Amino acid sequence: MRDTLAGAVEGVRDAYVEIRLRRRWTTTVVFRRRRPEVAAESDVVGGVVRCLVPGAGWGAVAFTSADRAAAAVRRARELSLELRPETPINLAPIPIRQVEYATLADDPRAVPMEEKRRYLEHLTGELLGVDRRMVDCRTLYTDAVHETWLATSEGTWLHELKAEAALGALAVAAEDGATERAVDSVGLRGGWGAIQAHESLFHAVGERAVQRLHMEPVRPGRYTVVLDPRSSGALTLQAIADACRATPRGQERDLLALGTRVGPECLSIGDDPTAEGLRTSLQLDDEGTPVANTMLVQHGVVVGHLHTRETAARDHAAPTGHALAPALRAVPGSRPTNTYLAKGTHDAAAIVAGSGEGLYLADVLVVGSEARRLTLVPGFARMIRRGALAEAVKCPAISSDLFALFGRLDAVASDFTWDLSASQLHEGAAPSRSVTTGAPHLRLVDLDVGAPYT
Amino acid sequence: MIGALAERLSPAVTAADFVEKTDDTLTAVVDAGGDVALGEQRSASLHVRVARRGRIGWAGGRSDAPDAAVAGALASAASGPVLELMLPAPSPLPAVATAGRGTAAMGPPQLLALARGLRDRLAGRGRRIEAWAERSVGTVQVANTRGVMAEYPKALIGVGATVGGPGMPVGAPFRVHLTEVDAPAPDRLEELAAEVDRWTRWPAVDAWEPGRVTAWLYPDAVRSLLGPVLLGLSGDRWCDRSRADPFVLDGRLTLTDDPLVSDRPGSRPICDDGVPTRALDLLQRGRPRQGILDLVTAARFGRPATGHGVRIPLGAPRPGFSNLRLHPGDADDASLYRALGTGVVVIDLPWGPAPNRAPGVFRARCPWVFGVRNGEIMGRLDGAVLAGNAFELLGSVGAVGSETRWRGSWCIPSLVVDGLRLEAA
Repeated sequence: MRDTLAGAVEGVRDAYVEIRLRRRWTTTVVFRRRRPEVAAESDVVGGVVRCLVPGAGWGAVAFTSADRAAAAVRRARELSLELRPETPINLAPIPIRQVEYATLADDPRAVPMEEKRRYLEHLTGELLGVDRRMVDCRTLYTDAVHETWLATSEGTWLHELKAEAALGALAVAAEDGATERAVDSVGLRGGWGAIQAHESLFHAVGERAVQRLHMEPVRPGRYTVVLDPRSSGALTLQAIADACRATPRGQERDLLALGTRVGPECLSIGDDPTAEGLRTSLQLDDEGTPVANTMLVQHGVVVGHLHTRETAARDHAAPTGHALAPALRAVPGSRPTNTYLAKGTHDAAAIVAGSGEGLYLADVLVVGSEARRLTLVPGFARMIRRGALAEAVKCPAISSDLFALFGRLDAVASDFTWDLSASQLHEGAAPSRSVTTGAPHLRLVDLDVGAPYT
Repeated sequence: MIGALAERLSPAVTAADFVEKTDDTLTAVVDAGGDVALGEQRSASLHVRVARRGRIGWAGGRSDAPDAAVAGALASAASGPVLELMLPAPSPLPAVATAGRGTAAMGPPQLLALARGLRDRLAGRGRRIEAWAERSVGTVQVANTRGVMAEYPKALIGVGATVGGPGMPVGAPFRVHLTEVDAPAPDRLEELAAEVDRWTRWPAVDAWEPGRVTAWLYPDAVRSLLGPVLLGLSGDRWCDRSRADPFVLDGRLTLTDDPLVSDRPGSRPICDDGVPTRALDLLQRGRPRQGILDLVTAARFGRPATGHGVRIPLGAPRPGFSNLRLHPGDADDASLYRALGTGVVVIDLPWGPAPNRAPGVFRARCPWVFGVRNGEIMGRLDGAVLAGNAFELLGSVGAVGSETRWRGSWCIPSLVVDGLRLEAA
């Protein structure tokens, strides 16, 4: 493979050329109640060549097998030469690395699909058996092995093999005309062995759906709200990291500008692709840039953006190693990997104890962002009464302007943890991409918790 | 190729069907700093489904490696759902044009000219502009072991722009686009540019009153509102409904799924399951009449398939709509303004983060909402949040616009509705 791709790159001498080829094996099993809906395996190959002739624009050609790489390089050069940018496109320099990381300790391909189906069937049975009020469920097992080859005309070489596996469950409980849902997932680097330790998720999801049947709604008003690490991480990703992605020409949007104050001194946020053992960690990004922990917000002020080589050169910054493609045959753009909110100094228990009467959000389903307005849809919430966690409650979506929300941050705990749920960052019509978040507990004061939608 | 595959596989399975799709897509992107990128994607994909020993399974792959896809489908069937799948037999196909004649000839120079033309028309006033043009040409082939073998061409051209800059809402550029099967005429590009000019010239108003309002929903906003309705008319949800009419909308609303209207993105004579297509009234005078079913859903519920099977290379077979027409009413623009009186004009309605659209409730920040007093636009309502229930709003329609225009695979008029909640962010 290395000779094939290197030979294709050498076919063009007067331009920057980058070839990325990726092969992906996946298994997906889905159950609806006790009925298997999907049991499928796939093995797909896809790649993209990008060519940038000095003074011209990007030519990009997607292809589906290594033997077509040389032709794709020639075509990408032809397309590059068709373009006449008045503002030149430049690439920031990067250190050239050659990386071989192609061993798998826990290969999910070694386990037959029938065994995976039986495993999920068993877990689905456990979920439906939680309570007589369980009326519906949808469960998922999926695993994937990704093999990536990357070669550039500057000498970068990457050959990497990674595996990941995920479990997910949606439970629906009903009684006396009321219907409630609960959902959870886990996504891990590794394969069949790694995922087995997380079976308890199914039972917990079922219990949570049943528990929701008898929850009272929160009375609308202003509350001190404590977010658990998972909720804090999800908020951080959607509110800050997504707004700090430098975008290439042709896809520009409003970023949080460097120097903008978004929160108090205790707020520091970064993205660390080097974090060990996470499914979204990397060594080199999809342009071959060595990855680095990048601070986005320090002491409440925006200090950095996630960059590709092109956006770094345009903004006079250093590439951060966040050029990632959302699909096999897509070109890379800047995207987060492992976004975190740095730990603070407060004790988590003390944060709750110091809240008096308030709300505790344990898990959010979605964090939406539209024109700098954020909306958190809680998955599970409890009241805080006299400084202690009290009854579970139904909590409506909480909406706030980004700056107003982080302006109400008054405490960050020291109990940082990475969230292992199978989170995705959605980008409009583009394919969603896996992402990991990490954070400690945090507390927001005087937050408006409104009435439900209707 | 898939005809031979069907013949070869026939003795080994109870039934099998195949979809082969080829596509050649070319995309040009330009901005205010000149040309940016040209991208080309060619693909030839194969989707195989088999029924064997009472179970069904499917797999996707490349059409130049059919044996791998067949092996994947057989492995999938060994663990797949138990279902008796009745494949359609060959029958005459309806006539419908699915590809323009000049589309394939659109190369980099023509696409760049389209994108540059739109960018140049929109340039000035400190605007930040990105424009793009894309053409896609290909074929769809469908075959099964009962003898169905059909093929039709596909071709599309899209042109669009994103416009931001001074005086516009932060983080919410104005987007326009159109999709055709032939190169768009210059007047169509001029209409796109005029749409940008029309809505970006209004300044933000200083203050406005939240509350329940009457709203003139432009076609893109109506399309958003129809999302939960379409969910209820699709596949399992339609068959699982507990009442004959799961919802009732305003009596002036009739919605048709029409794969046989020529030259639209959803036009097709046969669905990916091999069932000939036909126009279907989904809503008649506000009442649900028919949902869409693919072969698997139809088999599961013991009903006939409606010709709406969709197969993408690596996805499970599912039902999907083709071209959707919401029938026009009798209100011209002056009548719509009269019906609106004082309220808001909504150009687009982002759905917001509600994880489940089926109940129809939404609350979302809408950057392109305009205040109207006594039939006159006062300006943009920055920070407006719109909330409501799609089914209730579509049940309280004040007027239906008489003008419709195809936008991609949708053809819908404006609606004036009562009871939208306008909130301040």
